[in-house]
Amino acid sequence: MGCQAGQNSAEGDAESDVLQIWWSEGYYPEETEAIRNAVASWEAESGLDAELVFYSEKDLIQQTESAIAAGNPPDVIYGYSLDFAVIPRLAWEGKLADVTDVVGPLEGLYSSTALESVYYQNQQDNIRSYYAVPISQQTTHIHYWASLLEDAGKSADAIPTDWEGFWAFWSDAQVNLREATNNTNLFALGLPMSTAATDTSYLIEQFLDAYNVTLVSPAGDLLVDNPEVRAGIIRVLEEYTQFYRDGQVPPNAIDWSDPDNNVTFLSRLTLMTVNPSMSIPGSQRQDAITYNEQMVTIPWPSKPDGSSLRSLVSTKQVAILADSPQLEEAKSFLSYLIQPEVLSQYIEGAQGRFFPVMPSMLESDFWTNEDDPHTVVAATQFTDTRPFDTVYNPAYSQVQKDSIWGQAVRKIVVDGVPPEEAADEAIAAIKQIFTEWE
Amino acid sequence: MSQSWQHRQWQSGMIALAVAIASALEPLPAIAHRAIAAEGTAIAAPTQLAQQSPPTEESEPAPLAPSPWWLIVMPAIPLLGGSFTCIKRRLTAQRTRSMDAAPRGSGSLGDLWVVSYFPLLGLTAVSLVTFGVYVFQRSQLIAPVITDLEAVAADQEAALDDWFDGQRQAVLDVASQPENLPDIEELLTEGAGRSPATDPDLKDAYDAVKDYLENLEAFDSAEPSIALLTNGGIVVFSTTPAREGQYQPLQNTTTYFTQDRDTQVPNLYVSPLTDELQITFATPIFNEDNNRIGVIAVDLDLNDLAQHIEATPRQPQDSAWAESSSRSIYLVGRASLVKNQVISTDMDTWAEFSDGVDSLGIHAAVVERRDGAGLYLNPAKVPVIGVYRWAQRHNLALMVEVNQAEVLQPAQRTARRIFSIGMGIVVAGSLLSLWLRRNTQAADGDVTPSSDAVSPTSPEQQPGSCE
Repeated sequence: MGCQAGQNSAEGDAESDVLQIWWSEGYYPEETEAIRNAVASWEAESGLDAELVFYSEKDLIQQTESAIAAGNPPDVIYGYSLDFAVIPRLAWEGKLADVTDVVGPLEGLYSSTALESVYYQNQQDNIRSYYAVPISQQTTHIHYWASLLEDAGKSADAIPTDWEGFWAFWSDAQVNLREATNNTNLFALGLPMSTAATDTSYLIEQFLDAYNVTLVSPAGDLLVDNPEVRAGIIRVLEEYTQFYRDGQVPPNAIDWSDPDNNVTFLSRLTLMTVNPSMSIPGSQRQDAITYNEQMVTIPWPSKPDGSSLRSLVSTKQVAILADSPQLEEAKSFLSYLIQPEVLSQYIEGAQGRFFPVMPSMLESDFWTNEDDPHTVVAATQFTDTRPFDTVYNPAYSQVQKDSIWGQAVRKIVVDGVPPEEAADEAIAAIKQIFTEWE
Repeated sequence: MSQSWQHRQWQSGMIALAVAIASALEPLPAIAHRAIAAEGTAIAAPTQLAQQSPPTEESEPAPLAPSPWWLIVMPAIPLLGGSFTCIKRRLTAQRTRSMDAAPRGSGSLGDLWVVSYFPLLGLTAVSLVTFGVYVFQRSQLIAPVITDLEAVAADQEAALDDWFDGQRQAVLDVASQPENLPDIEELLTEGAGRSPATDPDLKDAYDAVKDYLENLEAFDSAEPSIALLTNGGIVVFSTTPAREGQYQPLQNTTTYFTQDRDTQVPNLYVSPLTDELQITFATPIFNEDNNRIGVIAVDLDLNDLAQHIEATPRQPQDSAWAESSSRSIYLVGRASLVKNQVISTDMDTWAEFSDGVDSLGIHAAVVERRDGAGLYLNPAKVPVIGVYRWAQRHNLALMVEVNQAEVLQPAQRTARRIFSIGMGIVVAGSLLSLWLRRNTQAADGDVTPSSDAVSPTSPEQQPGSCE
């Protein structure tokens, strides 16, 4: 029957002998095509049938939750933000299938961070096990326009590598750029300030790590009552929101969704942006001039204390619903997908938006090509990583689901709430969440 | 008859009269009825807001929604009052003396307990009858309205299908049969990073494509914004020139489909470049070698969609929908992770709710993805009777609503009349019984309890002993 890509036709309740796969739609057709090819290959090899349904990310979360509530979920789910909030909660509630027999045979090929990220606590059965299959990973990358930087009278060599100098550089560049182009609609930084964008939380947490603020210990203990932690939170919120208050960020960033900093940057309305995943350069691979000459990817600056920044990594993962009537078929598909040659083909076919979670795959030409100005820089960020706090305590997934950090940011920039007050409210909310999860 | 008893009768009569007058002139506070219908958060609907504006001298005041609360409160007043009276009597020794203070030997109505409590009993009875009539009539009014609304919803679901199918096919037709393929190919392959509108090498191609796309008739009454995108999503031509040079994602926010995969549901989003609500259809353009050279992207005309949905020509003129002056039909979609937005012809009014809209009906349709009907507060916090449909193919909720106040006004009017007439009767009866009692006492000629009719063995009667 072939791959029935019922593209978000949401005719989700298809025949019972067809594997129902719900997948997050990519940012460009190549991503979507890559998973279609993988599914089609599996069908050809296994002789089994699948229906691959694509959803936009916001609709995928809504559709998944309502389908589970209605008792009509798919067999397999994947979304690039599901690891933040949805999958940890489902694992906690015992609604995901144990996939140890899928991950186990290839355990030695995975990075330790990837394996940590899918080793969830199942509170129903009071066990900890593999409840999702890692397929890729992302961290945040910094991109800027060389042409706009030139218009601003700045050179790439002049970009500081220390934390304070780095951020001040872009502020100065905005002033110059607006003068040079006589365009006040150009901004230095494309940073989300909204509750709708998971990117907001991602960046705040990267900033927290830059300031050595630890919210959750590796043992899962919440540390927000520590005065130093509170002071760090206040400092981060103050610094991050100051960019907006100083007019360096587009005003409507308070309402951005995840794709919107991409849109603004690629429309050349922001000079620089920080973005989880490589979706920005990935979208321009086919335009050699833009990809190779005009757009630049650079590493993060050093932390405020001078040490090198650890990359906060989000592991992209696929999960099987525990009540799936196609459990064996689902495991067969995932076992096929994570074979290095298949997974490599999928990740590279998706234009390198996400990085491999098997270190050996990073040795391929795709990731080591010195002529690729973006991938080779970004790959270096995966040498020193740490996972999200969700790994240490699944209650933290609720913090991300509720966009606690997004709310704090928005309160400061929209409502004028002082950073101290916003920090205290965020801390109180986090403590409340952790209490509810006990 | 003791003076205190007499005073009490007057008090009861005056209270009953005051209540009757008040209820005849004014319904009970709207707060009560909002408490009944308020089951979710609510933000406003434009048509309802317009109807809630203060009445002018010329216009009739907008009817307030009738509330069951006042029909609960009204019988409660006399019941509570009567209960209080009884309890007080039982707790005081005055009860026996006040009962004995009633005129003896008169053989009149005043000897009956029911006469003493006539105002309270009357008020209770009238309230209960009014309540019963209102509830019955209310149920009789709601059911056919919901039936009518469901018929509207069914028709408009089909209209929604027609509109989207038409737009989708138009996009596919334009992409598959472009009349200026060589010009389009030239723009797509050479236009990125340049200004085709003014570049002498591209201007001819640009003008030819402009002329072609601006005069398309494929979209019927809709006037979408059409753009040509490179494979990287950069706009090289747009019927909205300000968009040229900008980026449009090819997927995720954009609804991307092909000839053989055309079931992608539309995605509603707010453009970060225009802050406008949009649905963008996109499909690839292939050259003669069947290589994808770019994408045609169409920002659908949502105002045309709203007009299409709001036009309900198939509804009978005598239906509740057609006769309603408060009818409202609109679409709601999930525009981001955190908010729903409305598609309506009155976007100016909806714009003040940029933080999103919600109601019981919207939540059921958009979040829970189910169809239904019921009484709830619309985003204006106005009680409505609504039917909602989750149009899964289009990722939108269809809301069909009428104002409860308008529909239930006959029931409210009837209840008010019954209550007013009933209370008038109660008041008149109370006053009549009081008058008869006084006349009877006067005819007997015994005003004080210390008459010869008092048994020497009976407790001494004191004037004014009725509490």
